[in-house]
Amino acid sequence: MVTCTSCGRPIDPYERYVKFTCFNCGEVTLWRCEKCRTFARELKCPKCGYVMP
Amino acid sequence: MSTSERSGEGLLILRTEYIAAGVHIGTKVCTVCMRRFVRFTRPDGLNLIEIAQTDEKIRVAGKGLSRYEPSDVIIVSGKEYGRTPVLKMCEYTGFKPIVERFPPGIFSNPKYEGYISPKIILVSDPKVDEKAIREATLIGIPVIGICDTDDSCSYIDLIIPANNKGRSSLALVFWLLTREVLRNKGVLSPTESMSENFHAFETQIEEAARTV
Ligand SMILES: [Zn+2]
Ligand SMILES: [Zn+2]
Repeated sequence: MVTCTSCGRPIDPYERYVKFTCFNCGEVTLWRCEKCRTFARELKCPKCGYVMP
Repeated sequence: MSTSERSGEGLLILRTEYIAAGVHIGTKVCTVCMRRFVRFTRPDGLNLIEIAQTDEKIRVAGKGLSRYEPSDVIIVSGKEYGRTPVLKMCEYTGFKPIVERFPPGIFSNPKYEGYISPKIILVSDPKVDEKAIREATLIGIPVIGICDTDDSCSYIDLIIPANNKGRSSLALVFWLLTREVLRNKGVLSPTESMSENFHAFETQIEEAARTV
């Protein structure tokens, strides 16, 4: 099971998550759970350290 | 040498050019998530956005968008002043614009006649383009948003902090985004710009009046 890059919680495949390649380095797939997206919680790319959103 | 290199500040354009277009002008309201992008609150309560943050986010958005196939990118603006900037950006990049009323189900309902399946969207205003954000969320694609100080950042995966109400501000932000996409794709060299300046991206006032 994949985990949210932001909070580290496992993501339920039925929840509304998003996954995308880091906008900065383009090398890592980042996952954001619905809660982290709703509350605009920060996420940091584990590869380049870029902080979003 | 580019303007930014000459400025010595490392920005994409001179700070004064951002300021002249009013990109830094926020609102008197500031949401919690936008607080980090505010440089200064004037005595009258108006929040001013830190241009260096806007500049950096435009760079990163440009890099990110340039990695997608043009047909997979949708640029949305339900605002009058967002119309021309979006159409211009799409003309240069091949991205797909939605500047009319946002059709419900366009991303999420395969039975809808105009159904499309983008991989990322960029919106000019999270409030005005709320329906597009909702649809993107339904299909699990990332959202890049130009957010003013009074905007919610929910479901925005990359925030470009900027004045998203002004005509010149929107034109300049979209012009810079376009230039960054084209530079990252190698269509323009790292110091080259499009032949048109950002005023060509401005919605004309008569044009906006007609759509009211
Ligand atoms: Zn999370
Ligand atoms: Zn990264």
